Amino acid sequence: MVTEPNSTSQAAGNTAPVPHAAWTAARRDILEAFAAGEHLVALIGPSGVGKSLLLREIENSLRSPEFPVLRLERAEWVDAAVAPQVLLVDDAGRMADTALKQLANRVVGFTVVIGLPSFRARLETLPHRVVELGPLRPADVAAYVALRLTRMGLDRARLARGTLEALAEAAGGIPGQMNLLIGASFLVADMAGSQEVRPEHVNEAAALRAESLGLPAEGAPTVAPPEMAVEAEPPPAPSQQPAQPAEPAAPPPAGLSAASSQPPGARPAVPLLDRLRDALADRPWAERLSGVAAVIVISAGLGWLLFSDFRGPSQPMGPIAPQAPLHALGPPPTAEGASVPGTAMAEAPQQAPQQAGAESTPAAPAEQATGAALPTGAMVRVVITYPRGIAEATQRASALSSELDRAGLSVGEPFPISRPPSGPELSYFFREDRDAALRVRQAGAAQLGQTAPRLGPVGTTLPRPGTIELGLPASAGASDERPPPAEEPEMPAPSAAILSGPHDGAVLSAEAGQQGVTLSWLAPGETEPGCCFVEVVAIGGWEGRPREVFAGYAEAADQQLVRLNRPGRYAWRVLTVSRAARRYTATPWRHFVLGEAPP
Amino acid sequence: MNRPSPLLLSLSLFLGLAACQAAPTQAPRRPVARAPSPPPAATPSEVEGAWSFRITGDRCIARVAHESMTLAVTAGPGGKASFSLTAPARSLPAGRTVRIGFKGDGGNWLLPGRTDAQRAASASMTLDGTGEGRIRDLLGGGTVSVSGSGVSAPALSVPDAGVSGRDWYACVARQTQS
Repeated sequence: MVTEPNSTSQAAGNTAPVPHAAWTAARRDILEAFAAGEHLVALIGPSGVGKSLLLREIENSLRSPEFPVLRLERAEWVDAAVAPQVLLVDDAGRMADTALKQLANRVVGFTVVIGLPSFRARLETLPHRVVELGPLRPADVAAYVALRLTRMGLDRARLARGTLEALAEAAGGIPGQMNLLIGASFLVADMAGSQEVRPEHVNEAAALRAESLGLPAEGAPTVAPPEMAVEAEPPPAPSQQPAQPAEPAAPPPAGLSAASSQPPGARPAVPLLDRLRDALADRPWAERLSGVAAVIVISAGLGWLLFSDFRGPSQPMGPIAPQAPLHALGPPPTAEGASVPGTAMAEAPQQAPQQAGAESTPAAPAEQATGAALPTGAMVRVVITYPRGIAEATQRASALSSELDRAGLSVGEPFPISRPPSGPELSYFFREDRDAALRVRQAGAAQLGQTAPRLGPVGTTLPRPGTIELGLPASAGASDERPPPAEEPEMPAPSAAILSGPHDGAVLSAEAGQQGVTLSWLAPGETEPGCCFVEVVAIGGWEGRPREVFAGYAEAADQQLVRLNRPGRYAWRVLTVSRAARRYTATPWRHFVLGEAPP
Repeated sequence: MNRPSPLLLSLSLFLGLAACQAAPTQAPRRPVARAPSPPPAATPSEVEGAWSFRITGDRCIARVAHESMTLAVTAGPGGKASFSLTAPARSLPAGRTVRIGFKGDGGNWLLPGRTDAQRAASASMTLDGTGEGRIRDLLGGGTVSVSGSGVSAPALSVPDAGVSGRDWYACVARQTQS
């Protein structure tokens, strides 16, 4: 399967990567290799560790008008002579040696190949850098599980003491295994009629899973260790063309997939179903019904996880034309795929705006072709505060800033304050940014521990959507002793604005830019100034990455004048903000060109 | 016929002249007489503004606004930053040398400045570590005042800029680094 150059991955909520230390380090190493002008990087890791997700992340980071990116998902191969500058090859263990050699000998361009650990040996004679993607560190497990539970809609409070450790042990730190075990453990707990998900439920889930895979359940690791997955990959014959997926990227979830879709070749999961049947048979009807419902819901969820996380979200795009010029992808030729430098992305609001309907019809194809590559949620930026005048706190703030920066987050200069909190505080200011706060906590777990993210107070000046604040206390060992935040009724998100002008793909004169481009929109509901946050980014600047050229709450409720001094391509959008609901909704990005016609 | 006595003549002349002079005082009062002006409004010695932030092109712009006094802070481009204060009426003189000062929790500073013909006071500085620190102090809250000959503008109380200001400060720091 192949994704065409500069195509856009679907970044659905649950398929978004959950960065952890190893993942972040691997990402950094790959990007460093790219920056250093290296030509071939091998990303090596066990099955389920997240290599494919990382490859998609790299794709998003590198894609730009200057660097068309081609991602191959099933080791299909194109002639190196016509391959685009950046080539990403998933499941490269299936590639023929000759093709590998071609890749290694490319004098220009940058290639990342993915493989299981056994793949490493085949590259020994070729010039390359190896980047290893390891499992979750124990310190990362808690934050990882918390975020997964949030995304799966499962209640964290159900986890009993010791369950996290049991999950970590059973999954061997492999995120893919962890994802499956989380759902299966909740299912087993439900089957047992237990509100709490206890370590024994995890072990039971792991045993059931091992049973369904034909692995020894007693006295052996309950989850297939990475080595086992390595052995699953047969060494390819020289010049062998790929015939079928080699990497068992996603083992079936504890046999539950028998109810939905069983991968070919997998053993039937009869034992599990038998157990479930037995478990249900002893229960009254009401419990049986709820049990059946739980089975259906969780099976569907796990099935969805399986196919979204591991099969990959990219859509097959048909035959590729790596040499195709960028503008062949659709009008306008704004293949601005890279994310804004140094920004992560908040989850798209749950109540996604009906942008497509709101947009004028000619704009829709362009939005689909180009807009999705820019963040759909807010651009997440982290603010770190520390107590003024305490050198040790300054160092802590600096270390935390570096750590978050390495995790790919946009972090501002740490800011000294006179009245620091008594324990570490992690605040977000709009409900849409809670998941981003969890990611920040995960990335900064060393200092933040289990600090619960809270909806922080806002003063007269509303923060920008996507702002996350980390408050460090005077004492390094202090913890957040505040009582858990009270549950507040969630109010609906504001409606998305309807963008009116300039229309998508508009070409404006450079003079108009200097005089000021009036961005206009219709803000449903509240029409007070301050309702709307406007963002404008320049496309195709340094390294082809979008560069923020305007960001601020609009002075009027329905328009904003923005002066632009440089010709080029721009994208803009409006985020309607509700102070009362503490929520926001972003429009899709619109594009216009200043001072030049599209090439 | 008796001649009038000189005394009577003098008296008549005096009274006549007096009458002539008194006539204006007897005239009706001017209808447009100015109403008694109210006691001069007590100009507050200090007013509290509200922050707003913006990033536009290569500039980071912040404002602390009150109807009696507004402070604008612009960082960049070219490694420069400026403070500009405007006040209504004539509370700032035109074309004078002034000083813009700040006192706050984070620190105090004083910058030489000047008012222009529109009576806006401004001061600029290099956006180095010191300049960045001044802006950081300002964001922490305090009081900004203009001093100098002819200045009657109130001091501007600047609240803590909160997370919005600290977020905006990243833009200033980037200007310094660049």
